[in-house]
Amino acid sequence: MPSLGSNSGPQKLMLVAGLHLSLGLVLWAYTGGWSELYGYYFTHVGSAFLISFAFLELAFALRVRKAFQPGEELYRAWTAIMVGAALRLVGVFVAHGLQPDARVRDIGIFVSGPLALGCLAWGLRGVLRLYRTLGYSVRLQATDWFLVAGCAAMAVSGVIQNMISPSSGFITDVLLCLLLFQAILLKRSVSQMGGGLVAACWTAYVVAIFLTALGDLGITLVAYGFVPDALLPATWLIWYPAAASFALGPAFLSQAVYLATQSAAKRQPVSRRPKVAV
Amino acid sequence: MPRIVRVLFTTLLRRHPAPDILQACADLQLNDLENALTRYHTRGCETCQNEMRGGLELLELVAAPETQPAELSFLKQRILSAISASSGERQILIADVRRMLGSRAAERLTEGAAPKIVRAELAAFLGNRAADAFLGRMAS
Repeated sequence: MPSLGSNSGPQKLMLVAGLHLSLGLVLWAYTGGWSELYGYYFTHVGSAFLISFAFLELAFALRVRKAFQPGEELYRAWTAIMVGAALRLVGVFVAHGLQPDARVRDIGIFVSGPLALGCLAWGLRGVLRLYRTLGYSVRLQATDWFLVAGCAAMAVSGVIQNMISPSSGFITDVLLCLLLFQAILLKRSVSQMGGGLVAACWTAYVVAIFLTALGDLGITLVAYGFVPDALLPATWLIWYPAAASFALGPAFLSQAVYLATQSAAKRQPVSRRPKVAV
Repeated sequence: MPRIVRVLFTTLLRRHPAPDILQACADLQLNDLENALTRYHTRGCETCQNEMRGGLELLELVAAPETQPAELSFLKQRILSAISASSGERQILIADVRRMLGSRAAERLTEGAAPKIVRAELAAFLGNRAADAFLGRMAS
C-alpha cells in the first residue's frame, strides 16, 4: 500500500493497479471467460481493490485539501472532490464490501455513482474556472464536439429509457455527459502546461471520467445483449483502472505539494553569495 | 579588463543569457559591463540579481589597484564556487518547477523571468502555503 507521506505514491498506486489488472487479464485468458477462480477474483480480490483505492482516493484528497486555506481558489473545489471521494468510499463499501441484497446494493451504487459524480462535477467546475483565469482557456475542436454529441446522445437515451422503466441510471448518464464535457475542456487546458504533476492530476481525472463513461456504456450494452458472453468480463475489468485513476488524481497533486514543501526543507542550503572581504 | 573577470562573467552569462551584457563582455568595455550588470541587477530574477550584485562587488575588488595576484586567485575560487552552486541550485529549482507545473512554466524561469511570475500558478494549483515554502527556498 503506498505511503501517503512518501514522494512516490502515484508510482506505487500505478504498480498495484497494473498488477491487479494484469492478474484479471491473465485469469480471463486462462479460464476463457468464466470460472470459480475468476468469480473469486471479482467477488473478493476485486472488491478489496475497489474499497482500498476508494479509501486511498479519499486519503489523498484530504491531504490535498489541507494544503489549501479557506478563501483560496481551489479550496472549495477540493472540498467538493473530497466529499465525492468519501461518498464513493461509502458507496463502494456498501455495494461491494458488505455483499448485501440487491436493494441495499443499489443504494450503494447510487451513493458511489450519481452522488459522488455530482460532487466531482462541482469540484471540476472550480478547476476549469481557475484554468480560464490563468489564461489556459481553450476552444473545443471538431473532434471534441463529436465526443460531446456522443455523450449527449447517451444522456438523452438514458432519460428516454427512464421514462419507459424508471431507474436512477439516467442521472448517472446526464452527470457523465456533463463530466465528459468538463473532462474534454480540462484535457485541452492541461495539454498547454507541458506536463508536470499538476497536469498529471487533472489528466488522471479525465482518464477516470472516460473509463467510467465507457464502463457505463458497457453496462447498457450488456443489458441490451450486445456483448457476447466471452467479452463480458472486459466490461467489469474496466472499473479497476477507473478506480485507480480516481485515486491517482489527488495522489499526483499530493506529490506536487510534497515536492514544494517537504523536500525543500530536506535540501541542504547552499551558500551562494561570494565573500568579498579577502 | 582582467581576463579572469571576462572568463567568469562569460561563463555566468552563458547560463543566464542577457545580450547586452554578453556584448559588453565581448567588447571588453568595463564601464559598459558595469552598466549592464547594474541594469540586469535591478530587473533579473532574484537568483540572478544576487549573482550580479556579487559580481559588481567582485568587479570592484578585481579592478582595485591594491588587489594582489594572490587575492585574485582566491577571488577566482570564490566566484567559481558561487557561480556553480548558484547555477546548480537554480537548475534544481527549474527542474522542480518543470515537475510540478510543466515545461511552460519552467521555460519562463529559464528565460530569466522572476519567480514571482510562476508564484501565481503555484499558489493557485498547490495553495499559498506550498507556494510560499517553495519560493522562500528560491529567495533564500
